[in-house]
Amino acid sequence: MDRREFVQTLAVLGSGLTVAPGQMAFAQAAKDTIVIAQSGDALTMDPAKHSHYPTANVAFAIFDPLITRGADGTFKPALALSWSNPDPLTWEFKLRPGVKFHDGTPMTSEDVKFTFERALDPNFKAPYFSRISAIKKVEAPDALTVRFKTEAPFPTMLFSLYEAAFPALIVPSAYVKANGDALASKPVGTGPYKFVEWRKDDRIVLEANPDYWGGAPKIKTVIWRPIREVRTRIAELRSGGVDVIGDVPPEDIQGLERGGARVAAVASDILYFFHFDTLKDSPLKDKRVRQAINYAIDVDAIHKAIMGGLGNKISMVLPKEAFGYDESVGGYPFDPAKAKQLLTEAGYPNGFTIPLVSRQGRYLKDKEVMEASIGYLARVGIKVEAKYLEPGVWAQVSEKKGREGLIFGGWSGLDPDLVWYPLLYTGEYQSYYSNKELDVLLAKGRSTIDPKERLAIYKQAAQIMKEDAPNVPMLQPPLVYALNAKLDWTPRIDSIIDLRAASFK
Amino acid sequence: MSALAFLRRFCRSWIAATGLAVVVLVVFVAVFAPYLMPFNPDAQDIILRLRPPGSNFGEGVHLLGTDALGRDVLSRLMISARVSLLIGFASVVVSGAIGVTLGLVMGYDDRWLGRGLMALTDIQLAVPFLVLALAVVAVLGPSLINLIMVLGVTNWVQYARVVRAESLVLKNREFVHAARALGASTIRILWRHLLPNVMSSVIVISSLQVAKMILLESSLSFLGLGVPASIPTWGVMIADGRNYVANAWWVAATPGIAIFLTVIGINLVGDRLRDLLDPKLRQVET
Amino acid sequence: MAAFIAGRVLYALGVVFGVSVAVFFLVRIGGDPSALFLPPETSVAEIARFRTLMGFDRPLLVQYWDFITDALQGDFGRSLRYQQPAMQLVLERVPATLELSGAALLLSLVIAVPLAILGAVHRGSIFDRLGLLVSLFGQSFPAFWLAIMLILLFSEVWPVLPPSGRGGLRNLVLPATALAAYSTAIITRLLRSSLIEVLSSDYVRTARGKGLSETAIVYGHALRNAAIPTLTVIGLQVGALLGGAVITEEIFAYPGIGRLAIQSITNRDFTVVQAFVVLTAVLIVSINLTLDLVYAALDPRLRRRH
Repeated sequence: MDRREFVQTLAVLGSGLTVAPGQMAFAQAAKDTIVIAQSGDALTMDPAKHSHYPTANVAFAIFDPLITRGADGTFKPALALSWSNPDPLTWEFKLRPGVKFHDGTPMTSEDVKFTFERALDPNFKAPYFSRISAIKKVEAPDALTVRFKTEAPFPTMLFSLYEAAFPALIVPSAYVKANGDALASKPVGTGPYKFVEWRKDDRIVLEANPDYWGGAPKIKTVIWRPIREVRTRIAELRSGGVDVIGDVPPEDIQGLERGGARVAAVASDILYFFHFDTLKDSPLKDKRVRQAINYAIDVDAIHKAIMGGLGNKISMVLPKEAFGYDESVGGYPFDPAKAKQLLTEAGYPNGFTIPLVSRQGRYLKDKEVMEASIGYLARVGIKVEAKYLEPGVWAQVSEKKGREGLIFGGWSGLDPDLVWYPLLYTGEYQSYYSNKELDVLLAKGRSTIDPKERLAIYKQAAQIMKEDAPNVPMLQPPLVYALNAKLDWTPRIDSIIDLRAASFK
Repeated sequence: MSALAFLRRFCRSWIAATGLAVVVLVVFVAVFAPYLMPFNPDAQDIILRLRPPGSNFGEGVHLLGTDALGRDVLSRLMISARVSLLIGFASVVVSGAIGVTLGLVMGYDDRWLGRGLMALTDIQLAVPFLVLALAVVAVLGPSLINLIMVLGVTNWVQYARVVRAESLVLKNREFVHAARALGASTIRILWRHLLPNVMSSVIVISSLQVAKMILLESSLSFLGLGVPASIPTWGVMIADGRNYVANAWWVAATPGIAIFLTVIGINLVGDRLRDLLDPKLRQVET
Repeated sequence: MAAFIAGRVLYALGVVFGVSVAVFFLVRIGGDPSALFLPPETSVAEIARFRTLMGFDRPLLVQYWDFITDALQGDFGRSLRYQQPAMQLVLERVPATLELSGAALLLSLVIAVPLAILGAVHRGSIFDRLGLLVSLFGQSFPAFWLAIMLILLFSEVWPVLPPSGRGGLRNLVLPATALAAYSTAIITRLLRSSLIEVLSSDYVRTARGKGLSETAIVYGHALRNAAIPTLTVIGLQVGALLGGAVITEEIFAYPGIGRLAIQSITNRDFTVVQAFVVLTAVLIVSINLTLDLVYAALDPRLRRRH
């Protein structure tokens, strides 16, 4: 009897007392409350005081940014209606008129100016300071116009102003000035939901804002619950206790669908790749060895087997949806014979031993992807000694630039400048690589805001990276959500949960 | 009493004999794992992942199925028995050495040194295990040795308390007075005269502590603070496999059962030792 | 007696102080959380700036002085992650944890006490065997494995109980069961052996000789005396039981202090860990102090021991 039969037998045995799994779960009357289980509780209700995605999801229901990310990946108006560049160092936004905060005060350019000046003040200690620190000055020439000034051209400015740049959510200046810290416990925003109650580590309750500028949300009440264990989340969804869960293992999809749930998956903008420490003395200094490693790992098989074919296989370290991603550059095929040959040419016919340092359990199946890769490398004679560090230790090793050997990154960003520059530019804190030619291009790419020019620059950079192989591009893992089948909601690549368009059928 | 006679007495309880048999079996498997394993425990084939017990892909039967990377679960259970048992026994040696030494000193010297150490014991009891564990992992980095040290330095209190209580009594016995009168040094008295007399308690506590350590190791692994090495422990296997329990129960359930049986076996042996060697310890939580 | 009490109280305060020193330095020897709190692309200079702003780069002794002087006034600082008063964060979760551990303890007692009594009175009977089985099994499961299996069985395979959260009695059943396994085992075993010992003692024999019924002996005398060693052990184990609550609360998403503790520990939220550890130390030390004083009141000879 396999497990399925066993479960069915038990279900039959149990059906005298209760209903079989899944069938009772969603058989409820028209719902107007949505319960979302996240891996953790919010840390604060102040959008600028954290660097934590579960918190960001709650904040994005209460607050609005100037611009937002549309389903097609382009930036769409939110509190700002339009934007332009009077000069390469200035970004001007025209605000949406008639928007009110939950406490009734109108939202104006003063609030925008206040929002950024507050978060940019060093004494405020905003954890996501770096996301917005290119902004040197905020001007509010009139009630509905805001200008951001930068010191140098800043092509990725819009990424600093949408919801994933957490301090970019607009807060009410009058309320904050009058109430100080109250924003952290009783938030007031312009968003589709108003804050009702927060029972720490238990639930956060929000109610619909009927006067929302984007139209009153269809779902009346939102409850966020922190449930860390994946199995517990799945059990809650199956028993109908929650309507949305994330980080579902692909192996569970079939069972969940059979139980009456709907599964929604999207490739995330998180990148799985190895980068090489080419600074310390090791075989990885040799380009042929780096290429060999690229040939040796069967990324396709990993993608199919471990990720269930969900998410994307990538041929450069950039999400497919990102600006500048170019499939035509091409990746390395799986070719262990070629890998062996390159290793022999490089003087390692019998392979070598190399450390792998990383943290684990942060992203979907990161450890399994690493171990599978280690298995493939073992087949061409490269012995990998894996060391999985506790997150705090990992952060400190990183800060001291102590990563070595194979480094499993875990990085995200939808523009080459947000990914390649920090990871590859000589001397950057996370860079373990140095290539003068590439440095010139990466510096050029961030010095202009002209998309066409940038595209050409990054195409060249991609060619260099392909040939010199400073890393092994692998996957964009999927974000897998299981939903109440009656819920109409679409997941987003950047893992932010947007409830603005959600509804129950 | 000879060892054989003791063993015979030990086995007069069939439950204890069963426990001993389990422990001997587990130790045997751990020691001879390389010869007993049906597959290379590291050989992976991710295409053949999460296959149920009894699967055969032409190279032999995977009696307990394969794990998330297509590795043979039975072979991994066998090889990881080594690490799990090593952690269990080695950490008990560390905690025993610390606890017995401190306990002897505390009992023998009832003045400042002894009382200071007693306060240390109470402080140790009041600091949560996880805080200490994380501090050690953070400072020394995660490794097998460090894990053993963590478990050792956080679990010596039981020894210290029992040994202290016993040596408080022993130090007033005649043979200790005699040794002192003959000019024996304090260290010699502790080592040659007191230690042998507390050994039976120490053996009993140790046997039960091994079981506790194996369980604690699995908890640490669950929280991501376990051994980072490529050879897994049972705890790491459960932690890694726990997300698959609904689809591939064998991955997490079999190491769970392995821990369960081993710990029961050790506890049965410990209980019997306690009854035979030191019945008064029945009322002390070990 | 007054001098004895004063001495014990002073000693207890000393232990709490020692714990505060220990935890302060233990959480810090692994370095500060600046790099952990900031997003990955943050530059080293930025991390250093944040570190200075948070005051983590000051000498440890200076930081300790600030901590201890504030703590003595009841101020444990603000949580680094939550930016709220640390002690408040811990205290507001105490009721939930008390509810869960109370339920678990109650469950343990309901199972363990009858089993121990029946086992001790009718040695070798079916109840005795059952009791031995319970005490053997209860302490042989990895706690988290049991928790995961409970969820799988009673929330997924046969969905009769909610797997997570706090609310009604139904929410308590699974986590309390998982948490109770270990303490049930200990209490059954200890109480049983204490009872056996008391029942074979001289005064019980005298009582029997006087013609008292077995029921009166067991419930009137033996149980009370046998409870003392069991209570002592439970008192000593409070720390370990709280440790068990950490994993149970984490798996069942129960909003208690254990969950806060593990998250604060892994995130290096120093102030919350300090508040949590000092609070639990006070709890543990006062339980043991109370037990000490109770025994001393019962048995004057014990007063000389310390």
